[in-house]
Amino acid sequence: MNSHFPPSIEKIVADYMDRLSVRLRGMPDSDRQDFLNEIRSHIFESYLQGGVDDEIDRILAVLRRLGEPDEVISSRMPQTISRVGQQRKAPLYILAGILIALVGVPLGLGALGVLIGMLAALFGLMVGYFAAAVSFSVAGFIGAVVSAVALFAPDVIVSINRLAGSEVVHLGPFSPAAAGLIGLVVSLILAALGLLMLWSGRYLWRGFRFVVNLIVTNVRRIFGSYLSKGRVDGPAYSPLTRPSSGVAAGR
Amino acid sequence: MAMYQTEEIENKTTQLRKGILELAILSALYRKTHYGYSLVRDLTISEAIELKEGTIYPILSRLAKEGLVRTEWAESNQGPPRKYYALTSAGRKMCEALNAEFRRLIQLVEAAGRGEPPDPAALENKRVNIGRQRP
Repeated sequence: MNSHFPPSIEKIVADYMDRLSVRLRGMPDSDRQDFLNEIRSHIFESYLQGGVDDEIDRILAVLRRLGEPDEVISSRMPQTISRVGQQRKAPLYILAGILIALVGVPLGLGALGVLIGMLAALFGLMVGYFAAAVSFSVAGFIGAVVSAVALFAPDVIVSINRLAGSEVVHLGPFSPAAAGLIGLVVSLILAALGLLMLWSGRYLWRGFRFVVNLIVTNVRRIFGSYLSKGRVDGPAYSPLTRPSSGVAAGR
Repeated sequence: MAMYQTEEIENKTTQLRKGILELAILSALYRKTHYGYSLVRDLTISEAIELKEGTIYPILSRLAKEGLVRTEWAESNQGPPRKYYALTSAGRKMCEALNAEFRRLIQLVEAAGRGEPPDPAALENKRVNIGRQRP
């Protein structure tokens, strides 16, 4: 985008736009670009109105009136960003809902033990999954290499077996070439399966992180409300509950 | 305790302003088409109600998503293009209904403040008059 500002001003504007842009992550790209363009347009129009001689002072006044990125998007949050986020996470919410329904997580602090157990189980499952994926891939690759050797250079296998004094590489009833071919196909399938598991594992990882986040947030909220209930003349909101109340206010 | 009250008052005032701001935006668009900054100037947000100017953009995009306003980018003769907003017919209807309700609420609040029962005529008065020219 070509700038409509002098370079020193453009730097300040670009910095502001960057900070705003970061906070709009999760919005569809076209919506985000549209919003950013509109804000940039506003900054330009507001800057044109002038009032102050010094350029820097003028742009800073424009941005001050516009509001910090957090203030600008806060009332947008519930409607678009968080909704977009929720749409993407809907299956995960359902999963979390099922887990919570089964284990009764939100029953209070007493359920913390259950929670930790659940997380440990989930974590164990995940570790097992990734271990299986890695061993599939590694076994597949080693098998493929050995099979390829058997297929293309059967003499090597024969000499390895002779050197070791026993049948280290077992070819079974097949000729080295046939065994190599079968082995190669099976190994490649195994390796592909392992890689596929690794690749799809990121969804599992993402899901795991989501569940952990969900639980941590809820636990913090529970603790937060305990804390603010305990205080008599403190502020109405504890820092932990403030973000959600801000979202509600913008609705 | 004093601190607590100040914060509470600020909080409630902000909520009230935000609710009314949406109605003010609809009413301004009822009279004419605006782009963001012209709307800001029309509402004189910064001076009249101490809200950050940026607050209107989330509201505008929400109104667009709800089908109450339609938007269009148009080139400006100086600087970047502007995004123009106009009320849809659904938006006009919504604006009329909300203005009628707003008037009714003001009557109720004022009557409650005076300790009198509200004027029944005012409660039934659903006539809308928002196309008025500004002085």
